[in-house]
Amino acid sequence: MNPISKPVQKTDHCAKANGSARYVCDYPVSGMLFGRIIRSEIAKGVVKRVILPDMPQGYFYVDKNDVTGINEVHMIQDDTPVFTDNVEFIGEPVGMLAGPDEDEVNKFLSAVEIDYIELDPVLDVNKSDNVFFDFNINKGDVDDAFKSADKVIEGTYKTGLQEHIYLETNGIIAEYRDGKLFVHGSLQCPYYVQRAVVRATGLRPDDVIVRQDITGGGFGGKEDFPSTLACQVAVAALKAGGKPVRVVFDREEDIIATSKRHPSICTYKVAVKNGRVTGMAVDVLIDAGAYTTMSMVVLQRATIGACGVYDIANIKIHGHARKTNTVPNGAFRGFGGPQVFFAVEMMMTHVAKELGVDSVDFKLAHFAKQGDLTSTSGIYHFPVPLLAMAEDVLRESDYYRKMNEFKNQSGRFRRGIGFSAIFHGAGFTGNGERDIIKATARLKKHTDGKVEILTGNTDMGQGLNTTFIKIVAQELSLPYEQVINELPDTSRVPDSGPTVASRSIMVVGELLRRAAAELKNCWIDGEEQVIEKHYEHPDFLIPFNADTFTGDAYPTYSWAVNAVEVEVDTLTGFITVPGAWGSFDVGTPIDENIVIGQMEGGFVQSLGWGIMENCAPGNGRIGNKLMCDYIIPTSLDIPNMKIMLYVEQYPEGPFGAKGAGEMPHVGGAPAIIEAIQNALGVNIYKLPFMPEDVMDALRKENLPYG
Amino acid sequence: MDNVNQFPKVKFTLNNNKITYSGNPSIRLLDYLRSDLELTGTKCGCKEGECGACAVLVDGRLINSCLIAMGSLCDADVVTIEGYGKTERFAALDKAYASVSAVQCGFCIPGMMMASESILSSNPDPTEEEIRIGMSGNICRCTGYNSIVKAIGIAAKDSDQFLKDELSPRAPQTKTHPKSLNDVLKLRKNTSLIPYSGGTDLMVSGKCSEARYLFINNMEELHRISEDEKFIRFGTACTFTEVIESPLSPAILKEACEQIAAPAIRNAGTIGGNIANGSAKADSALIFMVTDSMLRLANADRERIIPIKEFYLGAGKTALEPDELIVEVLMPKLGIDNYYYKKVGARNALAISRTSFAGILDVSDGIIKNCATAFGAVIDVIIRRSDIDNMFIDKSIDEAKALKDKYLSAYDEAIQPRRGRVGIQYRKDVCMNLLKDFLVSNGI
Repeated sequence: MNPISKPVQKTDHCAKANGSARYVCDYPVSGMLFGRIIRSEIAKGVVKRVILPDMPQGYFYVDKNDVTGINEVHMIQDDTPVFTDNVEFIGEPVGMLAGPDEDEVNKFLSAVEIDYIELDPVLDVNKSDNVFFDFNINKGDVDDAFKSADKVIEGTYKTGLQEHIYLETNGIIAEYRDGKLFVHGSLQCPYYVQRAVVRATGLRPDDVIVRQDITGGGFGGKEDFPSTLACQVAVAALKAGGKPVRVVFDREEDIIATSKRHPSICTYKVAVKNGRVTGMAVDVLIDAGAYTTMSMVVLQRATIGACGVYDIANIKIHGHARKTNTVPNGAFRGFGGPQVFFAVEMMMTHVAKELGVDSVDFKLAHFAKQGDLTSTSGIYHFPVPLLAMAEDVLRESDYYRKMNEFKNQSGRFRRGIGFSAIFHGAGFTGNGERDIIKATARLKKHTDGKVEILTGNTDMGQGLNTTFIKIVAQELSLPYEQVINELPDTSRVPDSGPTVASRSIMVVGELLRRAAAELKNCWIDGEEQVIEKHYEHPDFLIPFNADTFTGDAYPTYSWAVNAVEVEVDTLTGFITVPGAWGSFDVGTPIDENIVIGQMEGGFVQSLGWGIMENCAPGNGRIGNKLMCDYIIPTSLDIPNMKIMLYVEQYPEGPFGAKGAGEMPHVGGAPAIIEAIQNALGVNIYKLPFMPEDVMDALRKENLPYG
Repeated sequence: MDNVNQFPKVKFTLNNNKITYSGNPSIRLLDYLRSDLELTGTKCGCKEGECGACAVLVDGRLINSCLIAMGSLCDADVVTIEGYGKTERFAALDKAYASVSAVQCGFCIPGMMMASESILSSNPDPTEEEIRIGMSGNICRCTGYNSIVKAIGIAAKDSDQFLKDELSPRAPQTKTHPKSLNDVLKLRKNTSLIPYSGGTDLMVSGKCSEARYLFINNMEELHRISEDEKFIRFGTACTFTEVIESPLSPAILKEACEQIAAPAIRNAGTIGGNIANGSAKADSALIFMVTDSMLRLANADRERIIPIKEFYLGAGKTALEPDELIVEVLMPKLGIDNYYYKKVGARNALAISRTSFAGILDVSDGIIKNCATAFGAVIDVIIRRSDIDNMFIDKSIDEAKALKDKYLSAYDEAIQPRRGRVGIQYRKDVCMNLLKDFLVSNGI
């Protein structure tokens, strides 16, 4: 084990454990104004008039007319309005009320009426002809593969919305004083927020300061969304006469109004010759919701991953993201990967079943190897450890024995075990790091010998504060206490890119390591020294062409193999999970505990997405909008997971580390759905797969006591 | 009278400090802690008792501070993370959490710490299963729970602090309720105050701070569990936890109460509230229905005892008169040992029944003396069809077998689920499956 992997006490442990950590909702509220957002009640229409109740002095209303800059939230494209009068989804912000008493603001909010001209919304992505993004991948000759195939097998796979349920809801405070706008809150990407607020307010970049508060979970849900909320709160703050304005969502508002995981429909056509998959034609459709937000990059990742971890010579993938009049879908751990890996993993089991062969053996025989071409005709430059990882998982889960034992069950409780193998491309897709992000990281050595880390990257619970410190301390041979890493503040830190895409350790961590190495060489006691490092694109990469989708989409990959066992109660359809296993390769773990914690947490989110989490969308509305009905796993729904770390070092990452955060959310769902499929002896094409679905499947056979 | 503040002053202890509270008795303890006292270690994640981020200890028991009104805290001993964080016991637990890096985003952690303390103070050497049950009302989205379960186990093993350092008395202190039952019934008669027992339903409503409550949670008379020749008698302010812990409670009732929500809800929620809110999803009410229990209802002038079945009139509608309180549940003692119970929720804890079933078959000398079934969460009220069940009474098992088809087809007709969140066909299938399994498991 690399010495850096040895766990240490996390830097944020004490304050979080004893309750003294200050989240955005914990700031003293004296002198603060409370804002509540006025949201559309219809899915599409034009706002004719907003009728406000009479409000005493000190209470005020803001809408698009108060936006002093451009009424757009800067993201990748800038189509999301700060406030709208042209409604595109239920829950869209039309305006905001703010004032000194929160209860009063709530009362005024419930008295607001909106006059609309209602228009017909498009709620079904299949019926949407508004294509936001459209990508194509071609490798080999898929037509020829189908022509010469022994067999062609098809399948269509659907996945549903998923809500993040970070325990801390979204919240932002903004204050305008002395010509400076100070914005802080629960967020993943301070510079995303800063640039968005600059654009919406028209203020100079130097006059907009964004700081991250301690953040109670993100999982992607605080990547794009806080930019929108921050612009709204900022607009209100400019009108607040110097008082801070605070908006902290309650749970219902957070579930209704914030981004979700894109629902998907993936259609596969698979050519098989001599027992081997020779071609795959895939259509990947994701539901973007009303605005583009992160859909372009989510779709890129989904399109690239649609053929899974398999070496398939001829492929053709069409990915498209379409608009519907629903809440915009954005970033969520895995970022398009979970959807397509669910689909391709199920497809492979269905092909194996059709061929009458064991699905695990079938998958193993198709695993890509080092040197093989990726879907975008790039190369897997580094060893692909899937076979060794699969061996560990199959052994630990006692897979083959269980598969055998679980055949032909007929009693009340039926067991099944499922298997999945996945990758997650580490870092931004394609040339994002080189062309768009251009990360800078800085170390500042103070005169007392303490070294301060200056980056824009955030800890939202995943442990980045600790792992950054470990990297720098290890390289400088300093005790951890000598290295400081404060919450990022855009007036102090360079833009080292967002904390997304499982990039922070691999990319920014490496910049810090290099900065530390340089500092070590030029260290002068008693002097202040600053070392800055800029991103350098690895030179081994085959350049990625974003038009043709060819070249290396990712420098390297993190890998995972999962197995999940289920027990299905055929009387009630209830699914329990007696066992879950995973082998994960994230390169060198910078801290073993932290990495295992990431793997366990992501794994459970993936299992929840598979069998439990259901937004119950209907008519453009989120049906399950409270934590009592949008349910996620409790401690009694999850077994003691067995996590194994496999280390395939990445030479360009710090100490051999690569991306970690997102990958565990990719493989759990296909493994658990395959387990249910094996328990019931049916083919499953969708998730979430819930007790009702189990009973529907069973209704087709004789019930045990029927 | 409506706006009369029932408790002009609420005296209680908070983190070893004496507090006299004279504000609105209907506001949540959570809001008082966070807004009035700026004790922000206690977090707000949902305000409906579904996440546990706001958990505190009240009289040594885990309670969701979002679901408890200030007026209910007379004489209570409240400990929040700010108080607990200063104890040796916390230090030992904290060390264990740190050793496995069980703290990620941290937002659930203060509540998780209180849950951990609650587990270890009642059980210094818990099994993994007991730990998982103890923390099942505390949602964590980051860790997947493994590391937290491990931390609590380590704290239990590695530290004898938990044995030495007494945090707060486990047994509830004797409470002096300012009013007798009679006085409360008079208030009930003369005001339109809403009886507040555990608060776990009432406080979910966003408008709870505007409600006016009649606090009956501390009334000693309503907490008694006793027995006479025919009945076990439960005071209606008994919490689910009190029912579970009582040696007098029959197994069928314990089993149902153990599956209600999660510890913090069971520590506050009461059987009286469960019955009074008139829900067909009420898990303890299902048991009182299947056992044909009686309710003792009282007003200031008289009392009456009615079969619980007559209490339910429709969704949220009951036979309780505006001046009455449910004082006692009289549960028959005999003939309820051979039971079948299944709650079907969407998950293993913090679950609202999607369907529930209870059955009792009392067989003596080969003859069925009593057959009773009840179905929850199917229609507006719990289904209890003694007219159908009576088909089996005074029959042998073999005779019952011969009647089985007729019995099942009668239920097939009787069970017509109302439209709801959970599919009609699903609930129907589950009801019939469980009913059949109940029969099969009894050899019918």
